[in-house]
Amino acid sequence: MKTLFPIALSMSRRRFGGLIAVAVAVLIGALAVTATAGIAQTGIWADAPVGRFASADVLVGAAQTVEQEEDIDVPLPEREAVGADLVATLATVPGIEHALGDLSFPATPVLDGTPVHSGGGHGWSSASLPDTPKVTGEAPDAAGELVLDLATATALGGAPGDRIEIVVAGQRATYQVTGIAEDVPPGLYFADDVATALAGREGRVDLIALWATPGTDPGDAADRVRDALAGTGLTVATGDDRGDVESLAVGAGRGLLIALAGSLAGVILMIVGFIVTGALAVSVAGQRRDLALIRAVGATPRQVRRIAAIQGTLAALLVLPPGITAGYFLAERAREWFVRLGVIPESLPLVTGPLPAIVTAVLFLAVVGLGARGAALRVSRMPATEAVAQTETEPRSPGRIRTTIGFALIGLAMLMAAVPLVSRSMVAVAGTGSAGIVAVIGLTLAGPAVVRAAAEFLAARLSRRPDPAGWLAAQNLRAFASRGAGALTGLAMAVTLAITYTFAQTSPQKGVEQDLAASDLGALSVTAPGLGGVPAYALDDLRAVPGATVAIRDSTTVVLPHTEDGRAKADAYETVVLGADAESMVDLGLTAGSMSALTGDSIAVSGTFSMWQGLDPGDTTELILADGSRVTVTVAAVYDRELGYGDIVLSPDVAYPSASLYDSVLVGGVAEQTVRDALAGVPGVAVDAGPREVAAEVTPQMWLNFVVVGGLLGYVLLGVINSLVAATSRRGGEFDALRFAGATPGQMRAMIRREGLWYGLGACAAGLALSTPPLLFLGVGLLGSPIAAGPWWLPPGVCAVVLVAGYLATVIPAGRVLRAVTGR
Amino acid sequence: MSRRDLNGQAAVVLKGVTRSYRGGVLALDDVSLQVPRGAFLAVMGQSGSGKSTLLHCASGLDVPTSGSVTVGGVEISGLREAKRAVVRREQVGFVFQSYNLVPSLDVQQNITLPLRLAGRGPDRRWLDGLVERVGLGGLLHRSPSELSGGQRQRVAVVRALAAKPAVVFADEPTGALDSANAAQILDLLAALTDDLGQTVVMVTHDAAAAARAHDTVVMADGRVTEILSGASADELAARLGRVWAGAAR
Ligand SMILES: Nc1ncnc2c1ncn2[C@@H]1O[C@H](COP(=O)(O)OP(=O)(O)O)[C@@H](O)[C@H]1O
Ligand SMILES: [Mg+2]
Repeated sequence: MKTLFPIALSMSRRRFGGLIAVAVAVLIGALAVTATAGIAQTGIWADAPVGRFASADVLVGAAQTVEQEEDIDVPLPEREAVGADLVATLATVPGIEHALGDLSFPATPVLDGTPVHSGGGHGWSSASLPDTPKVTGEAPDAAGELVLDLATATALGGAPGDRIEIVVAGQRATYQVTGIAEDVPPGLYFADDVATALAGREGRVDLIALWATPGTDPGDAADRVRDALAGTGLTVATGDDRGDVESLAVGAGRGLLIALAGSLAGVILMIVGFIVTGALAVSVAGQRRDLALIRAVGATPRQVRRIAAIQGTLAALLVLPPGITAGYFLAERAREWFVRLGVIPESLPLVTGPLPAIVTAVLFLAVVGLGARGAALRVSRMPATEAVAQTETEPRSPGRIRTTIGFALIGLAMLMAAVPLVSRSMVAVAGTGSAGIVAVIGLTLAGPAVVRAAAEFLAARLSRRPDPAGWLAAQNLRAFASRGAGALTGLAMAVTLAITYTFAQTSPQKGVEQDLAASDLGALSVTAPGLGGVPAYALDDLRAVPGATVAIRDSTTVVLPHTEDGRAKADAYETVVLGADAESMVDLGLTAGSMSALTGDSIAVSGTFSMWQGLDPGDTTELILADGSRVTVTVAAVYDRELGYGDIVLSPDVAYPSASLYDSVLVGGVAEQTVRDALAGVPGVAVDAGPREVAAEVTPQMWLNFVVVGGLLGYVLLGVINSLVAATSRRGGEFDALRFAGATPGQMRAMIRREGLWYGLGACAAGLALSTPPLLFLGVGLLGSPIAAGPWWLPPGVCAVVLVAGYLATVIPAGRVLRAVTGR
Repeated sequence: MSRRDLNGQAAVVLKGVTRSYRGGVLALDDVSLQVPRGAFLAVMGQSGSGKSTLLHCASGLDVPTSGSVTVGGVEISGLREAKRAVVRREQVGFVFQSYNLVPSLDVQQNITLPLRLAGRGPDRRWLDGLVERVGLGGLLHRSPSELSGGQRQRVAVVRALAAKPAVVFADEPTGALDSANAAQILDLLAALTDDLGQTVVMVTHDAAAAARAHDTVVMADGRVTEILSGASADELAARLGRVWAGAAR
């Protein structure tokens, strides 16, 4: 190693171009991988800062997860309550000075008919953290009384003794402000038993906050609390872990981050691998003669490979630090972006541990070391005499096995992409994205053989033409099929991935819109975002309107526990809440059962779900609701419109957690103005036509996919352009030979222009050929039309970009080489 | 003397040719030279004396800084590269030390490439005769990388002659070959002039190679110092030894 180092160094100094391509590929790749790993790490380990309970030493809450064996537990997005009697029990644990049972529930003050944002409702004891706060006026004591924090009181212009209107527990009511508390978290504070009633938590609290006696170590106190709670399955948190118990949004957001990072890791790693190894191949090819000479003067094949590896590693080491650093910045940008998209709470910080850096560095050094050795394999094994021969060539025919595997993968990809034909579901669509990746891998394997066959065909056809430029270009493409295929498949990859990834997002989205539109039987949709949902009393107001049909349309999460090979597993489902009363307003496209049976503890399921789970109308199954409560539900119906309504529709009669405020309420049979009039007493309410507005939006996942695919496309293009430029720049000898044989500069330029054009055209043809079947399947399977839904400009757009990139990356460096060869 | 057609037009004429490179190197210093049709002319001189530059300027690959060059009756020193390229492919064939075959074409395609580029049909009898003469008959569909150095150079010679040029320029054509292969190539070049009346200008630093030529031009410091006629290898070696010693002094 030591002795080879100076050789490798001085060689790389003279053959800079190829190594720059490697460095750029590693730099951007490291950026992407570090950022992805950083997001994954945040998803696994991020702790939210503690908010209201920052001063508490220990927080006790429910586990808020459904356990899975050998897999990450499924988080529960709604508060799972804790027995209120534990508050008194834990207060007696030695070393604990003060215990507090906290309740949080929606409560919104109304000022002049407009909802005012506040910190929500709490029991009065939640204000003692741990000392009882300073109150102007008196503590709340009875029903109809509350205390405001100073900020909210100022916003409302309320003083002790004033009466204010609030919406709480689904009702609108007038409360008397008995006092104003200083130095408490924003909120509306009710007497404890009043709060329990309003929150609907008889004998239970959301979580318990504990303060240790001064002088007691919080860790020791927590240990004693754990002992006291042994067997209850409750979570006892100290330090940074307290944030998780306090805020549930953090847990859900983290799960989403893990899912996002996981879904992106595959395509990112594949593309990074492709581009980095491609750049290494070009770099090694550029040094072929130097390496061969080193062989000739006595280096062993191993030493030659090691020289290639040292060079690549040096280039990587140079750019890994900036790439990784930039990756952390990108991860932070991404986090802020997720916050803005509402995917994760603002309070969730990026975890900046060293792990992503280590993972990235190890990964890239391994890929570069192995990739460089692989690229140098052929040169290193050549007989030394042959190695110094002047003429550069590729092996006559690309490996048969390689080609066969390539075509097999493409075939497999097409099968994967065909799943939407048999199952009109989101699961089926997942196959389309993966199919794009598999097809592209297949193409990189089969590429040389395909390029060679196409070039042979072209050469034969153009051989009779009087203009020799096309024929020469075809001969070059044929003889250097691997070199050409590297660039061509890279460009084709850009086309295929851009199209399949995008349309795999937009087509199902269109399917969702179609389902929702088709299911809409002309109902009006009532929402009240300012209140956090439509309160229950608004429902009563609407039901009082003669001739009106009224139905809840909400959403929640349910978890389906099951066993797999004897291991406990659980799957979370985003679930629409809709019942029998919606029968005349929403058409789910029932294939079995009836909507009128969707009452009590019942669900409707999609056709796919029904088939997979073996659930038919009348069958029962156990579900875990978002707050961890378990219910046994009966299947009332099976429906078709699963793109719009998911796999499970839950009856509103199942006591699902957030049941005093509803996402939306559907109203049919009456005019819009009548509905508005009936809702005059509900502040901040909105009435819209149809449920269409509720869904058809670009989800954060879609945005993320667009952005990532866009970034990766740029990366692929950059990598391919780099490689093409490096490869073309080495063609001086070839141009010399042509010139000595009598080629004019014009003829050589015409030849190069043909090559550049064919790279682009071939890439577009291959890319479109690989993405057309998946699009067709998506269209036919999901939308019932052979045309998939998506941005129509995308296929011609990427093709144009690829054509221009392939052309310029060939013609510009070739022009430079040509000028050098012809003297000026 | 059948081998020198002194009455006909000269194949190449250089008049007062000077070539200086950036940095002030005077690679050719006022060189005048006539190469008659049918001549086999060797150009000798020590490394850096301007042999290759002379060949480049005389063949139209490069343009002189001043002076005029006429190839096959066409004045080329004032032409642009595109025009010179057209003249070259009609009038000039090249053979280089490093063969310079097009790697993506097989032997046959390499040989006919100049004609294809010129948009001309091949003269079958002429080409078949050449291929026969150099013994490439069985190798026509091989790629250059599948040939030995000697074979490659023979392909290069046939390619240089394919368009029946006025003159063939060879720059150290035996430089990369072993003695047996080198002798074969020299035989071939000599035979071309004797049997086919071709004109050959060959740069070499090997006295034995130069002795195969009819005349030898000796160069030093960018100038033609001597023209020797029909000299033997020993005479040339002795002569050059003196010239070189003189240059070294
Ligand atoms: N492209 C160039 N730029 C600058 N100087 C050159 C260039 N080519 C040749 N020379 C110089 O011109 C002189 C003659 O070179 P050349 O004709 O190649 O010599 P020979 O072929 O006899 O060895 C040398 O001094 C050489 O260094
Ligand atoms: Mg020379």
